[in-house]
Amino acid sequence: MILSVPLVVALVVSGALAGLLGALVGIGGGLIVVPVLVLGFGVDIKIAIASSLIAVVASSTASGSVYVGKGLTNLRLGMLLEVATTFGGITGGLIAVYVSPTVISALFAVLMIVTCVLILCTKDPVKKTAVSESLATVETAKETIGKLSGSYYDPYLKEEIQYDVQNVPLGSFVSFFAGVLSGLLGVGGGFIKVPAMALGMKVPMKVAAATSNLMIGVTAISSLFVYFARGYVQPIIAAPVALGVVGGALYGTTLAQKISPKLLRKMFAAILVIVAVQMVLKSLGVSVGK
Amino acid sequence: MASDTQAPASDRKRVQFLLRSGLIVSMVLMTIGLVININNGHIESVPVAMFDLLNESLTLGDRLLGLGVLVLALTPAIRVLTLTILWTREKDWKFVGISILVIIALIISITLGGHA
Repeated sequence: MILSVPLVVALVVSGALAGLLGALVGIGGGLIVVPVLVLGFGVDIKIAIASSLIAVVASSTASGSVYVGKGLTNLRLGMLLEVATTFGGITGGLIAVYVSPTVISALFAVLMIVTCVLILCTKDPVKKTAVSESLATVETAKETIGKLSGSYYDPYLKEEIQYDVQNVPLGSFVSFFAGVLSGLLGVGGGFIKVPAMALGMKVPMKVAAATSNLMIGVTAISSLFVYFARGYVQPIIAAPVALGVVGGALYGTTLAQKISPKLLRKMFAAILVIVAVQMVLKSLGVSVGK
Repeated sequence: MASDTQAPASDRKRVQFLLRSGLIVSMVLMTIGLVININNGHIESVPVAMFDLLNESLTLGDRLLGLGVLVLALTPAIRVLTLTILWTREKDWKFVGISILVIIALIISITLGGHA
């Protein structure tokens, strides 16, 4: 595939849009990057997934460094769940090599519809997870050696929140599943891990979002290495997308405080439905443009 | 194991520094690679496999782009390794064991990829 300078710029802009939208609605950019590359640029789905995994690592590293600095990430909880999620990522990466692009496209469409429903049903996730506005710092956050429990200062409630972690087997199971999806479809899986931690493991929402954010980097690389070693990484496509995603994600964390989350979620859900329908049509062999 | 001892705040500062450094280095490598390729009119999508980065047939731009991807991919792995070392110093053996399991999973991932 021969690219032109305008096409490279278009890849950067697409990545920025994915990073921006991802940061605004609190999910990784993978759900947007894969369909944009496949439908918009005619990229093979496995190369698109490898590019998306690189974008997910970039996004996780960029926002993860902010959240770790603010003391909201529970490093020990993240590491514990990473055991399941990395083995899941390897499983997904290995399965993906043997699954036809048609099946992967169809699975992706289903995943987008599920995410769309979750986004519309979740009460104001952006406001609850807008950790960038938090005044929490490294010094105010605490983790106890040998335990999963922790605490952080919540400026909204103006108090220190202490929490324990429950239902670790459930969290591990969900993390494994999220890892499989990551390897198979090139998504971060944060939209599954955050509810699992917040609802299943009784972790505060802000901590769940920040911890998931750090985790998706490790989840993504467990399958990225498989794709990278097998030659599915095409840096000339992946690099502009990754550069755009980082810029978009960083801008999105500041813009999140100025836009109505409700309107944004509805817009995002509409985009997901349109793209999901196109992915289904593509998997059925119906032409959807390029 | 001192179960009621607070983990030092410096752990987080080190992890934050590591993530930022990895991100900056990888983004700089990718940008330079991209600029070189565009400048040379070489903007063809070429698959770059992890174990072929030292291959003579790759252009400088493609090699830098691939190296940028590798640095980015290694950053979360080095973060896991760093925490393993920090927790070893704190004698938090339970989480040292857990982080070693993650490292083993990542080694399996690289090994399986390499034997494709």
